[in-house]
Amino acid sequence: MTARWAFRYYVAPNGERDVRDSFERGSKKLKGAFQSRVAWLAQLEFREWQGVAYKALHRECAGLGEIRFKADGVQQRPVGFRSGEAEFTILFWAREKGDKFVPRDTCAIAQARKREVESDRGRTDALWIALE
Amino acid sequence: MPYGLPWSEEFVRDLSDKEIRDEFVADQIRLRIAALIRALREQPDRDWSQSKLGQKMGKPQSVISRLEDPDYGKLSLQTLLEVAAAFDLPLWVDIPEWSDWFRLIKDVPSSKTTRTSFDAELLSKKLDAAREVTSLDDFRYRRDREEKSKIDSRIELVAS
Repeated sequence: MTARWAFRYYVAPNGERDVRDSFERGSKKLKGAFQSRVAWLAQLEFREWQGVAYKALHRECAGLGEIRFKADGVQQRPVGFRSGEAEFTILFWAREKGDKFVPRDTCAIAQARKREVESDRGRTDALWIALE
Repeated sequence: MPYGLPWSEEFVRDLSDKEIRDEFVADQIRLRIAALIRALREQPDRDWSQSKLGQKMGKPQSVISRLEDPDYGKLSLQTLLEVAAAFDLPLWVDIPEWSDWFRLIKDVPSSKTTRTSFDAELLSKKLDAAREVTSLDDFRYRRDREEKSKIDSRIELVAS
């Protein structure tokens, strides 16, 4: 048995890895919960993702989706997109407060990164969590 | 991948920190319960709304909404028993070996997950079928033993 999905994350042209930094800065509870949500999604067909751990986004975030979990007293929202048949790339690690993204320009940041990734796969790296 | 484990060695090694591991376990269980309740509620032959499940449990819809939220971490065993009873299903809780647990969590509840409520007639049929299989297995086992015994006797005869 292997994971259905491979996960990647965004790497800036200057080598900055703010997605990974957000994870590393988090508590051990955040790390355990994130690993759990990724492992959970990795086992499911994409049409089954829309459930307890993921939400497809709309309007200015159209084409994107968020992994949803609460850790360190904050709603964590790693935002990404389906970058391949069985591949999901996390573009930006946002938080949510009062039904609004923090930072507020999360969708604009993620959409710009999505365009970058679509034209240059070198802007991503394999997620640090090994699933298979 | 470690022998017999469905996850990579690296994945398991990432869980070597106890605090991370404890949260991983807790989150997997919370996810499982939330997804399972939703799947059983939406199972085609039920197709219950959250309100309908709430009525069966004597609770408001908001309670069911919380039960289906994996970030709600205050679920009691009593509530789980009440949920199972509302579906007319049994409940099973275990503290397994790690290797078994890792295998169990690979089975993620989805919209394909279905469970049949208590049905004495159906269960009787299943038990009868299981008994038949057991009898057949016993018959084959005894037949194979008799065959082996005959072969052993012939070998002894030839050898002497």
